[in-house]
Amino acid sequence: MKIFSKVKFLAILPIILMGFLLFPVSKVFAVTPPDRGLGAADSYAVFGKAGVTNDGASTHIWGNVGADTSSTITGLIDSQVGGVIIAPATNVQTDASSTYDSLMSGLQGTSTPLDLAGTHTITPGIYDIAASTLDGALTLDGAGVYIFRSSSSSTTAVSGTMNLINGACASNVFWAISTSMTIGTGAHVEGTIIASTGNITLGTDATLVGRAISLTKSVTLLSNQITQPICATPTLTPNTNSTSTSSNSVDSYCEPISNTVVSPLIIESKRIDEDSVLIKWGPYSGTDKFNVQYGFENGKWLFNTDVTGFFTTINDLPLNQPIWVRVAARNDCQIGVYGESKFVGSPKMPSTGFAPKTSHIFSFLNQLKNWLF
Amino acid sequence: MAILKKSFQLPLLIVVLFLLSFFLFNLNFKSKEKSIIPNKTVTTITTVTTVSNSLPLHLIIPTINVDANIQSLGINQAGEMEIPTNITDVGWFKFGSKPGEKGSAVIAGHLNGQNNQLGVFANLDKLEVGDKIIVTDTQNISTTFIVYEKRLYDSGYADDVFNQSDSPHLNLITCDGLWDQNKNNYTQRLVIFADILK
Repeated sequence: MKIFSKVKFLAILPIILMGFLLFPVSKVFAVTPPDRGLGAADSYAVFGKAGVTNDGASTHIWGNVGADTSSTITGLIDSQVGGVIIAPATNVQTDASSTYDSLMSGLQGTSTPLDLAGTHTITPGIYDIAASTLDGALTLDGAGVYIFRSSSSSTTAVSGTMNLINGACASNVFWAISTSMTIGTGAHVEGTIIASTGNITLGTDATLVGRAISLTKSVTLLSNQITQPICATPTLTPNTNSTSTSSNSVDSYCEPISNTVVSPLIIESKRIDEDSVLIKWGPYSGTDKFNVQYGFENGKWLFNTDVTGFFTTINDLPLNQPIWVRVAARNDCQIGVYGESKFVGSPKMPSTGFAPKTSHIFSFLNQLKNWLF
Repeated sequence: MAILKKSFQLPLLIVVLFLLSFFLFNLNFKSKEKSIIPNKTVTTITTVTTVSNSLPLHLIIPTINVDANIQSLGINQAGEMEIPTNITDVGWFKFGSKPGEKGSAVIAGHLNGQNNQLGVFANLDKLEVGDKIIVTDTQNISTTFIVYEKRLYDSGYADDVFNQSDSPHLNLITCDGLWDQNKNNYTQRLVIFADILK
């Protein structure tokens, strides 16, 4: 009997122990937010259930464009779209709709009120932007998920711009807009925009790194560049979703880039042909792996490419379009400091003159003759 | 004895499994810490680009009596910088730097007109090193530049006219050389290089 009770206690002990130990573990894994995956909408840069209207030959969209019926997509030709124009775009609306619900869900975490007006630098989190206007510079600082929720219509004014630094990536930025969103002339926005009941309107020359998805209404474009959000660095996930990845992530640690590696500078550039530009950089300081970022305006890095070596040719650019480029050293999990940005692929010099009129010379000679004789 | 053995088996297994998973979890936690730290060290050195909303509006060159409006120009189908729509205005290359910003701001003007009238930059070759060039912008801010070099280029690409990156430059372009009847173009370009007045 005595032995039996001892045995009984020993049998319960591990369960008690487990109770203690399990508690902190389950606490970590219980904060997994609802899925932010976009499903069928993932490959779309622009989707307007009721249509997509474009005005402007310089509009270019890297990604698919979709709507419910093809007749509602107007002003866009195939060469302006990096992906394909699809109508009807199946499941895009339903999948984006559930992403929207997920973004608005309380399970994502508590939101912080944020008035977008003025200049802000923020870290990953969930922000309630109400009906405020982005009219200055919004800097997203650090890797992680940024969710902007709008209780009312959200407007990005003329001068508004966004800078993503220190690992912040457009594919982790989401705009859940309950009504409509207007991005003003020349403004720059990053992230996936999902507007629930209203339109998404982009003003002249506005740029977007992300997606414009209107669940019920349409998307209006006016000479815009829309790029799909692709991260330059593997971003750190803020929440661990499953224990099964734990053993894998042990391998993911890699050495930081050495302090002796200097920021590369572009030492030579030249236009190869109307849609490609060659750039060379240096010096060698311990690595030959680099990340090259480029875009059409200084500071708006719409694209990036990894290069092994000290030169690359950037192809498939819009015809005769010069670009801004900068280069940083990289390894498998980290990108170093970018060197100074450089404007490359400049156009031919302008033709600012007309043929000299021969009659003019004759009249001059005549005048001379009259004067002399 | 048999009872004791049986009752031990299951809990022991749970304990072992559990400790193993806890160990793995800890390991994972450590590795995550490690990978966050090096990323954070990068953060302090990245620069943020400032955004100015002004546009160049007016170009004044006292020594050759130029007082011209500035148009914003892009690139034409032939891959050339566009030209001002008339011979009295000058044009700023909008894809490059703005005058006063770091980099090369490029402004072009006509040498002559269709009927051989004098263009706004007809006397550009008379500019000398040390002459002043003034640009005012839409926010009424004036920036003064000083000419430091005159150079002739063959027509075509000239990256160094557009892409200096060390400090704010202003480069003025007009046609020069001989008229090439076949190419319907002048053979050369006159470029005036100016530096910001410090």
